[in-house]
Amino acid sequence: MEPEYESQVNKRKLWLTIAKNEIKLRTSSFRNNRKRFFIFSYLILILWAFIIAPLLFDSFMPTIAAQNAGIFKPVVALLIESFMMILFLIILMLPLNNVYNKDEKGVKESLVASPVLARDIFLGEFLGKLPLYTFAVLIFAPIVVGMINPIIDLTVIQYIIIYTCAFGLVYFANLIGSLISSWLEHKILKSESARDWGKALIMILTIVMVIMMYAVIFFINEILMNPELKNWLSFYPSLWFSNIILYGIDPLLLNSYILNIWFSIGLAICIPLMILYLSYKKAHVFYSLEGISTKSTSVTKQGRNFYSMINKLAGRKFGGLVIVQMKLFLRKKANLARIAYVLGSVGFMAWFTSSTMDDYKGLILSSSILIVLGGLVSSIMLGHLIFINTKDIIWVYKKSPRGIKGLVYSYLLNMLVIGIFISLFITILHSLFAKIGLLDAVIFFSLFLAYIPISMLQSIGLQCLNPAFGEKDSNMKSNSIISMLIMQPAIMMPIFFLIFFNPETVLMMRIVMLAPVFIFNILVGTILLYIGMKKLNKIE
Amino acid sequence: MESYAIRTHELTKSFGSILAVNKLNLKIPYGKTYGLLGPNGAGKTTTIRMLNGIISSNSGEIYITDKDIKSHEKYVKMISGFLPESPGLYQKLSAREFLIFIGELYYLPKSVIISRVEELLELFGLSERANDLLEGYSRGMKQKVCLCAALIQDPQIIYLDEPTSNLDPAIARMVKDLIKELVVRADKTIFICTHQLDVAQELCDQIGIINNGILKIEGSPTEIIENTGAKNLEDAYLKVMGVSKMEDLLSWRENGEFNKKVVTSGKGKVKKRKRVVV
Repeated sequence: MEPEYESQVNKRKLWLTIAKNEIKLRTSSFRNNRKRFFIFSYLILILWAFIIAPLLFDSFMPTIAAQNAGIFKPVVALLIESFMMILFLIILMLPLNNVYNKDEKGVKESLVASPVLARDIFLGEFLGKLPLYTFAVLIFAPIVVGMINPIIDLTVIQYIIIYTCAFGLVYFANLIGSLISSWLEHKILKSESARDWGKALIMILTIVMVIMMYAVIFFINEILMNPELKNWLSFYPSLWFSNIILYGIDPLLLNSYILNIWFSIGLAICIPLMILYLSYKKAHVFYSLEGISTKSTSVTKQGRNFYSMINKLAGRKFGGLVIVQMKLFLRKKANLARIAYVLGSVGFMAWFTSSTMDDYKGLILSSSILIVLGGLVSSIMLGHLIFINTKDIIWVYKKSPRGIKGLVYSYLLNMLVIGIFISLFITILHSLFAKIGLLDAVIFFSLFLAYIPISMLQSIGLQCLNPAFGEKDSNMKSNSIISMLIMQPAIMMPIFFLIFFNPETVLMMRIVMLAPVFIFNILVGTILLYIGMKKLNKIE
Repeated sequence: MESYAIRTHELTKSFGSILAVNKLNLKIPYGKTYGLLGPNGAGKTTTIRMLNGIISSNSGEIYITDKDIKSHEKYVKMISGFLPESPGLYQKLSAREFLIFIGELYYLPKSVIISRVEELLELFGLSERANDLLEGYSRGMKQKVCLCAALIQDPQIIYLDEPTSNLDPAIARMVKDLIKELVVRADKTIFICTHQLDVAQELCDQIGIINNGILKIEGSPTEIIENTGAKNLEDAYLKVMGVSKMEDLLSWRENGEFNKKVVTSGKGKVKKRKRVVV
């Protein structure tokens, strides 16, 4: 080492360099005005936190509090708890989203080849995200403050405690998210399947988040009457932080919990610090390229009978292609998580719609809405994936005598096969919840199954018009939004036609509610698919 | 004991049941260019990663400028420059920002970083687009940025994994000339992994051919050609590796479905294949 650099080596903190670089990466869109970006953003957020939000909440919260004096305190407590639970998940998922940036994968090799230590990379990447996560705190903490203010006049100390808890929660979620994403990145370097697991994890977390939101909305009374139910979630970190805030509002709010204030404070301080310390010390486990070429995923011969059945069902012309599509689809864990998401959300709708409709008319209406929602969710969650990672493969299809049709039709058939399982599951749930007979169940199954590929026509058509080759492509977002807009009339049609025609018989009710939806979707979907395939055939 | 820039003794690395590098012994003198040749999966990248301290060996020793890599890892990293096989870059940084970042990782003083970055950008013809985000760069341009990053701290030993594979002929020529200059004028030691035999023959003083983790043969290009009784380095490489006979390569045409002629309907659709004699 040359002497002139030796002093630099001792002085320079590489975690700081990594942290600065992390900030640069996250603010690359403002790379010419980074300082101004931060000054401007923080000024606005401070203005929101300390002037706009208090004024806004003070304008209506005291009235709501006065009107609902009896239940206001426990409701606010529950809202703060659930709000912080969801916030924890959202912040935790953010670092996971960056895991899949394939182009940055190779940079790890350059980093590890430099004198920087693994723990410096870890600490730097974690700290570098904090200025941006502070935005989240300054956006959301004033909402918590706004809800509490009508109950008690907050002192400066209480303000500090609330903001400290919000910072603690957000930074801890970021720490856990960074750890999981680093571990996944480490796994990704070893095997591509880890990337898939990561995506599945995000889907699962999303499902958990949706369940939490639904649980708060639909079970608020049960939770309020039985607060001890939340003891099952004592391990969930956001509760440690929210308990501290709740104690400030009213110590009695923690009475039914296992975690008292001292346990909550202890966990909220000790666990994050302990995890941070251990991760710093053990960072070399995550930031290493050891074992990089060891793992390849080999396929087993499992499910040979299943595929042979699909081959026979799809026929000689499409059998092989459908099997390829199905293997590609089912070997991605993220896609399995997506199917679970479809089953979960439509299954919940099945419970919700059947529990709110008590007469036969209502039941037919609820099953019609369920069919439409099932198609919509399947189409958005699964139909839009047709061209994911096919940027190069598309040319193989185009060059072959089957052309693009081979790809599109085989994917559609693949969706039909998957639709059979989705339809079967939802039919069972719907039959159980709504207590319908066998004939009604068979009719429901047939209509549900028929509507899935029909609704897929428009999502696949949209993808043909404007293909998205990656899940994060901007085309994916725009196509999904267009898809949702197109489906809006389909959701409204059953209710509208039911009111307009007021049919008397069951058969007429089904026809009036579903025939226009089917015709509408077949027409729109076929036109989109036809134009889309024409356009896709000209892709260069 | 004679001093070497790079010396390995019985270097071994396995990944699970796969033996990637098997008892590799290298002695590379100062100021020489060494080329490690071999097919995909031969163990070249694993070797270069071990020499850089990116991954550790299962057994054996590595001495860089006579210092054991295990006890002098930071020093070894300071004096080594590394061009990875796939250009690893932060897509959301500009070339200038990325190079400054790499310079800081090597503890270079700010003033040195700024001047080195500008020199390298100029040398590789990247000055005009130095403030563009790397996500907009072509593969060749990214390769150039990686080369700049490998050279930023003016390393004593430079490891290059496929240095010219993504470059256009003019830049590839420039890189080859640069490698020669670095050896002749700056007395750098250069370790190259490549598939390109012409690059190895032109640049390397010494060549090693590796397959399945085992070093098959080593010597100067001329020695290797002579020892294998080959006409040129390509011929020598093929002799060392062994190749399939041409008749084996096309044997599939003799039998099977492909001897059937495609018959189409009037609309151009495939109707059937008729068997024909080839």
